[in-house]
Amino acid sequence: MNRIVEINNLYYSYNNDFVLENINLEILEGEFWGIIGPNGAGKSTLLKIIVGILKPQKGSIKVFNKEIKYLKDEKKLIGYVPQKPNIEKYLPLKVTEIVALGRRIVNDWKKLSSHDREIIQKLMEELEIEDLANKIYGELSGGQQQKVLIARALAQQPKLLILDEPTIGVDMKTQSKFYSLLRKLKKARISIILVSHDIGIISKEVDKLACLNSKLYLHGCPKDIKIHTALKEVYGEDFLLLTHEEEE
Amino acid sequence: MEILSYAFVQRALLAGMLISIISSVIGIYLIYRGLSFMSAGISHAVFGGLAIGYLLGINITLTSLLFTLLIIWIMPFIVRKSKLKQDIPIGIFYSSSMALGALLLSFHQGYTTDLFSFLFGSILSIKDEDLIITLIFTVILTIFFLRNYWKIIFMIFDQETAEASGINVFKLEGAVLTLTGIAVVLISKLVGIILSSALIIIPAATLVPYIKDMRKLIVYTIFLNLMCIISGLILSYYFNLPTGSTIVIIATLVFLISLFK
Ligand SMILES: Nc1ncnc2c1ncn2[C@@H]1O[C@H](COP(=O)(O)OP(=O)(O)OP(=O)(O)O)[C@@H](O)[C@H]1O
Ligand SMILES: [Mg+2]
Repeated sequence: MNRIVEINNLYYSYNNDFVLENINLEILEGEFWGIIGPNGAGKSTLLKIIVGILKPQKGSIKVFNKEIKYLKDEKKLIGYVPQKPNIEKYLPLKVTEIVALGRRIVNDWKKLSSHDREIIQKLMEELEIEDLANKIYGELSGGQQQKVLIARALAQQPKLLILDEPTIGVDMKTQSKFYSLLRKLKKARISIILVSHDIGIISKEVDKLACLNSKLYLHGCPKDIKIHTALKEVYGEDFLLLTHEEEE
Repeated sequence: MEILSYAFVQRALLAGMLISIISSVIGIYLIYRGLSFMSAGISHAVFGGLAIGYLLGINITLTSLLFTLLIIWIMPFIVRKSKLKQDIPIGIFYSSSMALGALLLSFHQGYTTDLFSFLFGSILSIKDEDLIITLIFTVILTIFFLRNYWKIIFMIFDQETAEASGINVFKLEGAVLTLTGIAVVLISKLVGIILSSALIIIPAATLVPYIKDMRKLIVYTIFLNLMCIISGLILSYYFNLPTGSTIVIIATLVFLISLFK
């Protein structure tokens, strides 16, 4: 099977201390990965390295079988929803236009075709934002904004979808729609990396789970690994007190 | 409308149109990018470049262009080294190029008419060659913004995601700021350093909070810009006022009125 992401012996530091140490990870086509770990564990940092915003000091990272710095057009196949996007909220840009940015990237910035418009329309319906089509991003609620960003990333029809706590502030109904959308994408052999603090959902939805706290503690199928032992290792002894133990 | 029959008035009107297009597009960009202080900053750099040209006795338009672009290009590296928000190093650098300019000019004795027209401008005494260069630049700028419209919009909207999707933000912003530098030099040459940053920021700042449609915003800003220039021209003609200052004051009044509408 195709390797979509391949990380070897990767280290990253912002200043002096390494926030990521000796990361090794291989993500195959069609795999759905969940990444969990405490605040400050380096999850967002790892995702930013995978999308090419940050450059690691040591180690190698390949995406679509290429060193990340050599990726060109392939970058259009990476859909990314950042955790805390630094958005210029008052840009007078309508919701449809934002979602359409995803289509424009893939189309080399040519005019939108009717096929593009169909994709946009369908996504907006699926995420229930079609009523917001003509609103400005800055006029939406937090959860609505998040849905727009998700729709924009999905509009790229990416081969690799990278989601950093995408459902923060999104209501339960939309969340379940969102996860069923992800399941559909997975069937279409898209690789997904999802960071979330919602361990319940993650262990139910994903194929592979990685527990990160600077180092990668454990990864594998959630069914196979002793999830509580891993979590205890990453989050510390107190962890069990915080989980719903009957969930397992 | 006898005023229109003079060749210099016609040239001023044409210049006004070109300046409106250039400064509106760049002004809107800078405002949404949170870089509105750049235009004032760059115009200070133009002054430093002028002084260098005077002292070396070479073409002052050329030296101000080179000096301005030099500062724009090294700025990202200084910002990165300083670990400060970019307005701080930019502010420092631009006041020092103003100081450098004043210092260098103090060594220069003699004829400085050019200098005064660069500082305070005289839209009524524009040379044909300046007009042609500005016309060519307007065409280049328009083509650039039309071709890169959605890329630029994406970069402004969400820089990180734009970068993740393959837009080279460093290059794109570098290109826009280079065009901004050239624009400020050209506009300063036509209407003066002080008017240039005013025309770039004030009309755009007046309309940005009210117009919720990008294309309309661009068109209306160009229109407002042009109206300020034309009414400034007319008022200064009939009341014998300095044109540049009249235009800035009108633009500022419109801005103030818009706050209370
Ligand atoms: N821009 C930055 N400059 C310096 N240090 C940073 C920066 N961004 C993150 N860090 C540090 O790197 C570490 C990892 O941060 P990161 O954002 O990757 O954590 P995370 O796992 O995503 O946490 P959270 O669950 O809170 O989102 C943290 O200790 C943080 O302090
Ligand atoms: Mg994070």
